[in-house]
Amino acid sequence: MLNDYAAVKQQRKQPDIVVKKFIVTISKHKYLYLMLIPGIAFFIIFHYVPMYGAIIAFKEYNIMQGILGSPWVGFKYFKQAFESPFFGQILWNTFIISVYKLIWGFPAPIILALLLNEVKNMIFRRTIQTISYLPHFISWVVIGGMFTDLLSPQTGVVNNIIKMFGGQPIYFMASKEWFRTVLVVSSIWKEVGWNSIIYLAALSSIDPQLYEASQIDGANRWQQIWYITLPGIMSTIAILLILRLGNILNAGFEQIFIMYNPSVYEVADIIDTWVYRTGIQGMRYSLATAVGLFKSVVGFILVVTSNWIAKRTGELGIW
Amino acid sequence: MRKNYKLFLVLLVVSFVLTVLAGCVNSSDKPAQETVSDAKKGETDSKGQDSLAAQQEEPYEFDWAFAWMRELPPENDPIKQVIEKDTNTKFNPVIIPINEYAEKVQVMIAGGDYPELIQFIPGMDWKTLAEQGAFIPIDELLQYGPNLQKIVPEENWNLVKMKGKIWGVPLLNVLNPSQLFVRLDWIEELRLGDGWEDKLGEENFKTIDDFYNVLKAFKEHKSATYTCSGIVGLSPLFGAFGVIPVSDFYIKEGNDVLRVTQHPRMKEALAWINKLYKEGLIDPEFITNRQEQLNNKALEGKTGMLYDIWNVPFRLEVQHNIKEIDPNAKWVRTNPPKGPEGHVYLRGDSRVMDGVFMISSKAKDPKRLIQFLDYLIDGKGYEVSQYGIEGTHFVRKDGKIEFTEEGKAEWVAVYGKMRHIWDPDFWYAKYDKYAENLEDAAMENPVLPNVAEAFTPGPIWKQYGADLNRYEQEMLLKFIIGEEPLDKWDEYVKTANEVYHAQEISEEIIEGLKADGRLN
Amino acid sequence: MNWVYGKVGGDRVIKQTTEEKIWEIVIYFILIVIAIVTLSPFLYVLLVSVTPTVELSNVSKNILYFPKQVDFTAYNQIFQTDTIPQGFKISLFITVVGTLLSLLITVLTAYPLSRKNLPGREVLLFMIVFTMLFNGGLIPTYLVVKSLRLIDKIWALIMPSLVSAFNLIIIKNYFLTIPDSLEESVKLDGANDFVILFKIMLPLSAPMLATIALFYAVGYWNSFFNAILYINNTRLYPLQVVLRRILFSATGDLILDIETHKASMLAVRMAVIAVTTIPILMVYPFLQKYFTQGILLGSIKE
Repeated sequence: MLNDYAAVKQQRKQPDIVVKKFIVTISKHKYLYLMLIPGIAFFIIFHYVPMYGAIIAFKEYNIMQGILGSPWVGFKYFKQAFESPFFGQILWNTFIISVYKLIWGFPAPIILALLLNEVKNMIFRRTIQTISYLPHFISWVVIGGMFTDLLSPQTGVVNNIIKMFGGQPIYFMASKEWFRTVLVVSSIWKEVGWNSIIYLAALSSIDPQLYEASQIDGANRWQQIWYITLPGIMSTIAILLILRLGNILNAGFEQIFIMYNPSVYEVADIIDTWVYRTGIQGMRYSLATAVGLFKSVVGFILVVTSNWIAKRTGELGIW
Repeated sequence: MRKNYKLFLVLLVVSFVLTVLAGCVNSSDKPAQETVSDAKKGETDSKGQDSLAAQQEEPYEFDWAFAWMRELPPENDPIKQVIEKDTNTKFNPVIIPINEYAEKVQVMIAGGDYPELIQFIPGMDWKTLAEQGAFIPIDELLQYGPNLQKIVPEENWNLVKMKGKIWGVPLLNVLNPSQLFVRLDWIEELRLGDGWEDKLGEENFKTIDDFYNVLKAFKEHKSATYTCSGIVGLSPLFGAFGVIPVSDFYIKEGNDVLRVTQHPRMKEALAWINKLYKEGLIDPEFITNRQEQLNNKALEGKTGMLYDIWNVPFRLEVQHNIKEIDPNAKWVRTNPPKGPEGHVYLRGDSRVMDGVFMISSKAKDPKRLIQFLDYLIDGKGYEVSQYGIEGTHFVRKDGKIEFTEEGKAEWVAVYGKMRHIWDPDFWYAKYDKYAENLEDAAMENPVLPNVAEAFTPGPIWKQYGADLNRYEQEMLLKFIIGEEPLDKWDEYVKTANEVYHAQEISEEIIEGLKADGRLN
Repeated sequence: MNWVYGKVGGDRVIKQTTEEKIWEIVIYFILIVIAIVTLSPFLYVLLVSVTPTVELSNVSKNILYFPKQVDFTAYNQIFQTDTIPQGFKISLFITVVGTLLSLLITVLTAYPLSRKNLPGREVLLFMIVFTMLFNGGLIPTYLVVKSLRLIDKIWALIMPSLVSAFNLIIIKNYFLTIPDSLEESVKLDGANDFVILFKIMLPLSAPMLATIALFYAVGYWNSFFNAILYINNTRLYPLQVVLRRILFSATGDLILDIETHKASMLAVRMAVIAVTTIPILMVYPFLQKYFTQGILLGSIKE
């Protein structure tokens, strides 16, 4: 008996059997595999093929020798980043600003979506929704200028209000205490509407019967939200959170670059702004790639971890 | 078990496809230097066998990359045709906007076939690329460019030297981008004119106390301040002490080359400026002011003295508009104050304003490119590339110039990169009465030269230079606004040297200047 | 459980006690505040774009300054530029074609990856997510595009961003929330995967499809950097590139032609923003109807 079993197992490993099994599997799902071809080809061609470029992080990039021909320098640029006197500070700034934006900025679109969902009047709802995502289309150059004017200690609206209440005007844009708040608030302002779109889409797929049933059980608005609506979009929330965590070390380059100044470098200089300034002299490539690789690895670890946690709690993960 | 096999096989197939594709692309990764230059060498060789005359009958074809943000020229425009005819060339302009310029040029060069003539705008590093062999030095070729040698000053050629050779053709922009402005009507109203004369351009601020008194009067009677954009906007105040608040700025004193941000006179300057700041004479928002804020403050009468880097929009828009708000308002240019030791500087000298033209190492016949640029910098080439074709874009009537409707189009000046100078005949014709506002752009201002301008960065600077720059900017600001007392000056210098490697960087820069042949 | 055709979202009837009414007012109020706050940047843009130069200084005093005289010079300047129509055509093409293609391929790729029994699924998903975090950089991607001979072709503005991994994951997960029972019952009738995808999955995913269609459309409409990088032929420049030329003056180039009848640079800059944004704003309300008519399948017996 045992021998037979072992013999069968042995047989299963024969190459021609393996190939046959492979073909059987493929043909069983042949349409599915067929569907996959264009998309996978896209990722291979435009993402995996260029990926060899990441090795520039370990090379002294010589543009004439090309990526493969450039000499290896190992961890030189990683070391260079770590050796910067500002390294600890920029790492911390990046992390803390990103976390602040996560804590305040991640729930905001969800709350907006929930609020909008409570509105019965369709016209009102659609109008508010459309208005709310308008700032997404306006570049940071403009919004930065607006905030500079808005928060001006001498003429800005906010400070005028403060002065009206007898307070001292605050130079927000140059204040180490307030600048991060300005960053978080302005980024929520800009993106809350746009980010709520996807939650609204998720909300519209919740079965109305659930609401009707809870109605009969005497549930009020908030109970409905807590027991039906939120669980209904939880999988969307989970997936967006996981993907957001993958971006933890991207704290908002464009915004900060436009809005920061020497008064607030200490609290707002992030990895990307540092790379931008340091890379100005030609070696931007190797350094930028090295730092980018570092950010990717950290993000990757976070994505894998949070995905695992999500699946443990019963949610759909990414894979 | 079965599932594992399938996964494995899927992986195999995928990685196989990957490698194949990677192989296809890798072969085109390296700029195919050998094949291209071989082919081109072949051309010139066979050409060399023809007669010289026949060789010169073929228009020289090449791609020309430069930066231009405004209206693009129409296809095969008449100006291009005139230039091509006069230089016996056929060029293909590759026009790239400024903000994406560096990336675009980089990918073009990495891709292998890049334009033979490329503009490098200030801030772009051509030296590393030149060292890697993307461009060629042009010392021997300059003999074909007599106008270039005649017109471009020695100091500008200095800036494109590396390892003793000249590497590119500097673009000349002698227009003065920044000025110090003051409200003349307030000066007259408050009778501050002790020693002031009606016509400006004379020395109005004979001492820094003159300057201080004017600002004090503005503050008391008009609640107005000195305003500018950023620390560098305070340059005229620093200039009175013979220093400029910019990193990597070096001055020569005797046999020494000194970094200005660590100079003892910088400490004196900071002390004086801090005093002005504490008394509210300097706009506390200077660190976040952008152009719009400066314009608005001028219009609203919140400022009586203003230093503006890009003064043309200020003058043309604000000066026009302020008439509606306050008909008496009159903003005029004035001189910077003179300091206790007689220094007077408006700002640091910057000669690389428009950048440099680099010639590719793969250029078929580089001397033709030099001749091309030579044509554009003077004479008919200059005129046609800046102002257009006589008869089509402008006409000369009784010795005066008049622009036609066609000539007023924005694109007409697209090829005029070589030289920007004050050209009254043309400017008055084109800008009408506004040209008189621009005339100041031509005036000489006292500027402090930076002996290390456009230095060749070495490894230490590449690693720590930007960090040192940040530290200095932060500290200068803290000293100015008083967040840090000036008795911490020595500590600041020490930290700069030890933590941010300022000492080593200075030594490296000086060595580099000597190696480039710019310092003896 | 029976599933029925019905509207979701707007039609819920909530017990209207006094407490509920108060909450309703509060919610409306909060939303109005949010709307006002988020409207202000765009309102600012619109107002400044029609403010005559003389009145511009008032803007900093009062962010939402309504000009005494509405001046459309900035818009005239833009629309009189003859490169605008061509830019618009190009942008329209890449947005429409790009969005459709992207949608198609995204959906084709997401569906198989949502079938839990597909061998190799996890590996492929992993690979795709990997590309969201790791990439090779500007130069290698450029070289790939170049070797595909896409340089200076309009497809260079579509192909490199054809499928967004983010959008793919979203749709894939959405497919996973659609009950298996639907799929199985149709399979019993002999339908193959294509039929299931197009006849069942897609109609049920209308809200999510509309969302990622919007995401793709906005992405294509805003494409700018790709155009600068991959295109040299000025006739293939999308609208964004053309517009940016209108609003910039060359740094260091002092020759600005300012004549009194030209709008100020600030007004032009704002008008450009308005012109680029408004078309895309018109797309979303059109898609919004898919959000409220979450269609669930006609009744199925268990």
